[in-house]
Amino acid sequence: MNLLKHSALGIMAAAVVVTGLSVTADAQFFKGKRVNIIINYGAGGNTDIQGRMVMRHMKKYIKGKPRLVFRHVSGAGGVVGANFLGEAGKKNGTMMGVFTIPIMAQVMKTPELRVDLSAFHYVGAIGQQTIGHIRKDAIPGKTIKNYKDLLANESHAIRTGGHGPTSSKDLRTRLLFQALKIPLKHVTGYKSGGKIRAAILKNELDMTADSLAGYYGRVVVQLIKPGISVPIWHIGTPGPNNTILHSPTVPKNIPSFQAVYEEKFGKGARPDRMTWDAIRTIGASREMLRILVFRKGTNPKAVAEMRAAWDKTMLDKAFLADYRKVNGSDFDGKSGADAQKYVKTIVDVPKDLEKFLLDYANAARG
Amino acid sequence: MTFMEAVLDGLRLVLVWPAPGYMLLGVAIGMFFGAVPGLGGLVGMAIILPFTFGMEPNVAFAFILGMYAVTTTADTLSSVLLGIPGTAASQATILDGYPMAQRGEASRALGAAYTVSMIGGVIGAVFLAISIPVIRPVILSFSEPELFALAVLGLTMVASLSGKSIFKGTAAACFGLMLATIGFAEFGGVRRYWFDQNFLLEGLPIVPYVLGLFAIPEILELAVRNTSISRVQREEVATGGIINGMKDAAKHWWLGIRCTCIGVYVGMLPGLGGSIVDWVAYGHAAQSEKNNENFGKGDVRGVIAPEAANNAMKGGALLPTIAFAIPGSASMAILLSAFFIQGLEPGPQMLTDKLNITFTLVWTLVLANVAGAVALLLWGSQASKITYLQGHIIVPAIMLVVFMGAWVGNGTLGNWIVLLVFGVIGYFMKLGGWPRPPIVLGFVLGKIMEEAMNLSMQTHAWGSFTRPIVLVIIVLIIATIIHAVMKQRKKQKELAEPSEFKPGEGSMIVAEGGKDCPPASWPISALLVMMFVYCFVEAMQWSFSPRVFPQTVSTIGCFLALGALIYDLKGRAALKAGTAAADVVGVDSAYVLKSLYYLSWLIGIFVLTLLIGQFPSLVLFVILYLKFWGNFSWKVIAIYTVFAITFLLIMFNEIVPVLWYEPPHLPSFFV
Repeated sequence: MNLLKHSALGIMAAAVVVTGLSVTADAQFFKGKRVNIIINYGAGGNTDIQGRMVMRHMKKYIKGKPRLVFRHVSGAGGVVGANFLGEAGKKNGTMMGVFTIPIMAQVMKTPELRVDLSAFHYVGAIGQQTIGHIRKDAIPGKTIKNYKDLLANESHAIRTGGHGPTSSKDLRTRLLFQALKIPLKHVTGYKSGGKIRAAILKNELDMTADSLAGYYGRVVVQLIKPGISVPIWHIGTPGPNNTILHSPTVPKNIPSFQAVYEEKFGKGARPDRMTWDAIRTIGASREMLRILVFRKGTNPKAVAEMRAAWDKTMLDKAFLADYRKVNGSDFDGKSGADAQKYVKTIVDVPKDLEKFLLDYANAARG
Repeated sequence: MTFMEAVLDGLRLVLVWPAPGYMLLGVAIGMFFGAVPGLGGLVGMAIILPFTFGMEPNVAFAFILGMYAVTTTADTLSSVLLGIPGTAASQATILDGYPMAQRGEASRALGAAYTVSMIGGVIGAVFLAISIPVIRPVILSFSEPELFALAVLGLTMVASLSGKSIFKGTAAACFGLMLATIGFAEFGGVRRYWFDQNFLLEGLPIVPYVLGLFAIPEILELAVRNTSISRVQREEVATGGIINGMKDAAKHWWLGIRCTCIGVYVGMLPGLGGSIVDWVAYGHAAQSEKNNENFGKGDVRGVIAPEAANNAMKGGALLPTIAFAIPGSASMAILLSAFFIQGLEPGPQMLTDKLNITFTLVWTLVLANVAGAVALLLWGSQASKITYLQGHIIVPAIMLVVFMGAWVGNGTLGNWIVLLVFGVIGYFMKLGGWPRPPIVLGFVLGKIMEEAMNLSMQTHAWGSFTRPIVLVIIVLIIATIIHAVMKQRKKQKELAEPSEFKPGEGSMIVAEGGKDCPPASWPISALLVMMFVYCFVEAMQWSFSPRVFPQTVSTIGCFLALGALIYDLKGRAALKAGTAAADVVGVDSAYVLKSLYYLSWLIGIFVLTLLIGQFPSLVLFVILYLKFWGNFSWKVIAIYTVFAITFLLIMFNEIVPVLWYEPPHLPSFFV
């Protein structure tokens, strides 16, 4: 009996120790590990710079203080990196992607994207709106002071620039102008936003749109302050009841596209369903421009630990200050759980919308 | 603040501690990133940028620009000593730098290169300082039509890089232009020549491509012949090579100045930049210098020209970045981010309120260039000793650097496939007397040309060709072609005269494309003809804009390759009949077979990587090579292997961590 009692006590004690250890192990999942951070664009690009900045702050909150190592798997507009993580990434929590989400590749079902972006485990996401801006002298004989001056134009073709018929910048620009019934001459094939802005500076183009980081970091100093261009709109955040709301990260004097549209066609007016849905989809994709993800099937402890670290990072004052330094605008983040839900709403587009976007892109191929 | 006050305040800011310390640290990091092939300044800048977040602007820029300034000085090391371009900006340096090393004049080449790099860098910075207030109209007057015309002008230098046969040189350039069309054509939304390989959608990766073309053939030769890089013994070489190089730089000061100007102007134009500037300068030197028959065989002027230009380019590249926030390259885009992080706005205020900060950049460039060049000049003699080592002892080390250099960009096995495929192509081109530089030139210019052509036609249509600067460049193009044709005819006449060239001398240094080997050359010509036909046919299914450039190039390329084929077949017939000229040689079958055997070892690294992973297969290669090719003792092998493992782990696991390939069926090693 005594032996039995001692044995039972011993087992209980062992259980307590093991449980305690396992609790410590859970809390210290990343202790002594190295986490490979996969960046799906090349060294030095916006994704790389922002990814490094984010992870530098997030590292403080990852229990176990793992070593973070950055690797670039670039190509095909971020698709190569997404494929790499989704297909060959480790499931033990030591490989995480910090991506610019190649969302249009999934929405338009391009064959090179072999993974389902909504199947990743989302640790978090960062949204970033785009601001459209136009040369003040885009319409002959008139000085454009704001979007209202542009809306009055129905005859002179505005020269716009883009990266290619299937890029979201091209689709967005063409869709917005078409919806507003403003004629445009779209020039496409510029390798970077910088080249488009240079063309605007040289008066070869009138208008383009840039992410908030690009707007504050480049456009303001290059085009706005010298008095060459003015901001006209931002696409906005898809809201309830088929609306597109003003994004809280964008100044009030730069209206959302819905506000611009209603200014021209009246309160509550909408273009045809397909055009509006396409605009809303593209707008929604800006809500999670950068994503932090693990591949499907990754150890749940790793995902939970990283999500907890991300949640704390989003409240970190030093991070928010650095984010503002790098991007010029306030941080607009989503938790892992929210991002996981939100991505579904973007990628699950109806078949007819998918076809509409594909046909729309194909129509612009030269 | 007056101009002079800003100059002095800029200098003061650079000299206030801790700015000089960070600048020197940046210089040290930059030398390292420049010297290791595949790394380069861009990777270095991306890595150090986050460390500047909390720094004062003068300290942050001293750190970043200190690193940025010297990568194109240090990259000369591997270009000259190993024939492997350290960065994209030193590709042309290998054309004469490596032959100089083979002749035992590595120190002299390095001495000349570092001297002109320093002078070029300093003049580039001074030019930056004096040009800022007046440069706006120049930059704004260069648009897509001008870039297209400039790229065509750049192509005309193919003539000076073509060696004996203008057909081969121009067909090779067309091959390069075609390679530039691989990948996703943004303007047409079309995937071109991508063979269902995602890694090709971004275009052919340039580092593995260039390493394959140039490094693999040289390594093959070292492995098969087991010679040192230098074909002469160390004792036979006169001392004071570095000093001699510095004297060379002084002697050819006018060439240095001209190439510095080329560097500044090419750097200034967004969209051209680093990958082309060395070729433009080299082409200019080869076309304009007198007594240029030794270009490509180890003429020091062929080192001076690209090295003066590639450092001067950096000052020029800063101009549009500072003045208009237009970054001309990815490196400048990072610098622009640094501006923003520091709360600075590029633009007119950099010339007024913040002029002292602008001069901080200028002074940093000046001081970093001097510091980097002096350090490398002091160290150059020691580094050049590598060229006297036995082939078998350096081949495994070079292989590690080449394979990892090809890997580091985006870490996919596709990069190794490109490396090996172009290694084979480069080997047979070298064997067959095909010049390889036009392929690289065509590749870098092709990317610029097609984009510029497409955008020009959309924005200016046919008016593109009537713009004043375009007209001036067209005149220059015509003049250059006439000059090149006249020179080519003169060269043909000279070649027809009796030559002292003795066939079969493997160690003799011959300029690229300077000899003919019809039995090895005609299959390349035939393959090129077939490739151009395939490219033309494949393009027929695309819409107009993505089709027009590849179809135009493939049509021209096909005729030129046919010309080369006829030339080869004639040579082959003459060789068989015993009536060939002295510099038309046959194939050394034993050498080729041994080379192919070694090539199979390189392919073995790839296969082994798929089976057991990248890191162990590289280590295994080192061991097996030393044992079975080098016949070294186990003691030497053990020591060598420890160094190799340490190098791989420190370099690619700690400093620039890469994602090692690990087969899915094996447990992870690097976690």
